[in-house]
Amino acid sequence: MSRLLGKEGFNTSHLGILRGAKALSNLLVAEGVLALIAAFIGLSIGYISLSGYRETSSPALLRLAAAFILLFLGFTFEALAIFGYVGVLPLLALATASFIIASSLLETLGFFFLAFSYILNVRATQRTLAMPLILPLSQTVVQISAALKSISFYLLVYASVETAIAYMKTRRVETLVLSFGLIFLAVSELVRWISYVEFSWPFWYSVSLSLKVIGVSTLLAPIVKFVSLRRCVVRNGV
Amino acid sequence: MVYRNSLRIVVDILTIAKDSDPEKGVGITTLLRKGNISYSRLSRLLKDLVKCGLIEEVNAERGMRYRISEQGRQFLIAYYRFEEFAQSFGLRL
Repeated sequence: MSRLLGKEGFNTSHLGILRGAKALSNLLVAEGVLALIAAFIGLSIGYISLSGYRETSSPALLRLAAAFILLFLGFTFEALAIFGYVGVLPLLALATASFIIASSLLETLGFFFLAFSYILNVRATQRTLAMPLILPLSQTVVQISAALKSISFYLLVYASVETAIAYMKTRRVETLVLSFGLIFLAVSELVRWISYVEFSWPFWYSVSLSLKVIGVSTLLAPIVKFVSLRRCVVRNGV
Repeated sequence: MVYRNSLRIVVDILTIAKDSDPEKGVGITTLLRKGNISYSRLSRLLKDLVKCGLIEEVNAERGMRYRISEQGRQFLIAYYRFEEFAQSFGLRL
């Protein structure tokens, strides 16, 4: 009897682990798909900004293009790392660690350029907000990635605050939407950290993914506005 | 107070030229007054704009006048489009 119970107990825990692993795998695949969508949106914004820079030679558009092309590369590497880890793309499994670090680094650089655009746009007194960045020295891939992600979180919060300030001046709806989007992306990163330490990680991980979906989809607002304006301006002239 | 950058000054000059008579163009005095820019800077700017083909010089009885070219109009269209785009991010061109 006790042997039977022991066997059942083992089976139950084994099944639980398997279910947990499958849930994690599904969530990771969803995150990979989301990273690919974010990469596509980043590429679109980067392309529009770059074509704007070519036509007007505006340095603000060049910085924006640099930010979103780096984010495009970062999100692409993130998707590759996830698909390699989960086994969707087994060929990439060996390079997962490199992809994780590359994606974190590129995303941080992208968010830095985004924040840098705002730093140049605002008063000198506000520049100090972006200064106290401390890069923790660590050895492992996860620690390096976590350190870079924490910098990304900081830069995202800064960019969202600056966008909110810009909204106060211009009262443009899309600026407000973008500000909320950046906040959602930052909170998504925060919730992700909670999911690493919490026992109910599937819940926190799902919440993090949902927030990321909302944050990424708000990045569409400037693209939609640009496309609609393109038709309107060309039709009516300047 | 928001300072104009060189791109904004170019756009202002082109806009003044666009809003003026499309045949006769605009005189340098009007450009100076409406563009709120010094004579030396305007002279240099006009020379560059003519060189780039954004503005055309028109010989008139009372001196040189300036009118916007088709390329200049296209530049203004592109500028306003991308200005809206940048402002969506809360940035200035």
